Amino acid sequence: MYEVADNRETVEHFRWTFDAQNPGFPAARRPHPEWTSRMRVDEKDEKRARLLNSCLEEAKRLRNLPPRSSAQFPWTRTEMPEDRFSSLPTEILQRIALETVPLSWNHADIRRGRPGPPTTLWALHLTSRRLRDCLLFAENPVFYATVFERAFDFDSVRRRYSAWSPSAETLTSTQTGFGNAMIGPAAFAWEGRKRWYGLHRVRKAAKQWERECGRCKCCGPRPLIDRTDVLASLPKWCVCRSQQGRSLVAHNGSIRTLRTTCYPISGHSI
Amino acid sequence: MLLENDGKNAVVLMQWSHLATFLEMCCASYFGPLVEREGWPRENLEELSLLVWVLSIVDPQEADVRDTELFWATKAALRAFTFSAFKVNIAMGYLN
Repeated sequence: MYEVADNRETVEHFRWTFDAQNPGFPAARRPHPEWTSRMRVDEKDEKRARLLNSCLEEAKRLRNLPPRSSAQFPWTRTEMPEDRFSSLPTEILQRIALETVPLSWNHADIRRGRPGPPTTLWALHLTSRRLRDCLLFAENPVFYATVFERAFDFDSVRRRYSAWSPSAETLTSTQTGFGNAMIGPAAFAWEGRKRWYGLHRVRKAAKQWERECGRCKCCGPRPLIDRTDVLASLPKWCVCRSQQGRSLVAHNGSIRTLRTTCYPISGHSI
Repeated sequence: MLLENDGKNAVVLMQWSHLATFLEMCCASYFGPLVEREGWPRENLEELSLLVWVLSIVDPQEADVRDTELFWATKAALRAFTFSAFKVNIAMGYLN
């Protein structure tokens, strides 16, 4: 409706209009005419705009808002053009984002890839609104089901969750059933999220334990800390005695304070 | 993930989440020198059943673990599960 075929005429018209409306505005800072070319309306649209504005004011009056506050048609705000990347279709953007997700390699002899959670998606989703819309977890379950397929083996999952509807072909198929609660790719998106959270907890616990109680090169096999008598077991523990009185520096380089327990397992008394 | 592996699950579990180290940590807290009381481990413990179930699947060897003493202590403690398997609720592993 607002597209004008003759671009040159549009540019001239924009330049004339803009300079007339903004006297003293530096020409170098003048916005690119193509940005505002969509703002040009003909009479028919002006009629429609008047009608729309009256409707808007009626709505504002009903909602007890100040009249002519901000919303006017045609919108006076200069529309920023969508750059080429943002104007790509969602599928392509998601495909690009998918390439940044680490792939769990199917063959152990390939050392190039390292498995991991899709942490790059968070950074990508912070870059622009368009990417955020493309990568929002709640609104793109198909994409996150694909991320699931990339990280985990899904044959058993498909077998198990498609028991109620045997015609499912892939995880992203909407035919896949997951009990009565969740249906379709959302089930697998959520399954992948749950798995990564659980695996992250395992990794954190293992790393913390390795840092605190792991075998030290100087001390040989690990002497485990004894909860009942912490101070008595200090010489046996991986503590470098060179910095006595300042801090306890373990041989692996981490500065630890004394802890009563070093095993983050709940429900079991150590 | 432990039940099925076409290549990806094992890579994620073993390489990324360090499941072997985690298992060693759990073994140390159940069968290792951290156990305070004498005797064999408590039965009907959900975590213990789950741990035994995971151990039976992963099946770490002596060369894989860091603490050899802990490995043999775990082996010795697992004999109780071998001879009194009827007491151990293996189904706990599936429920969790």
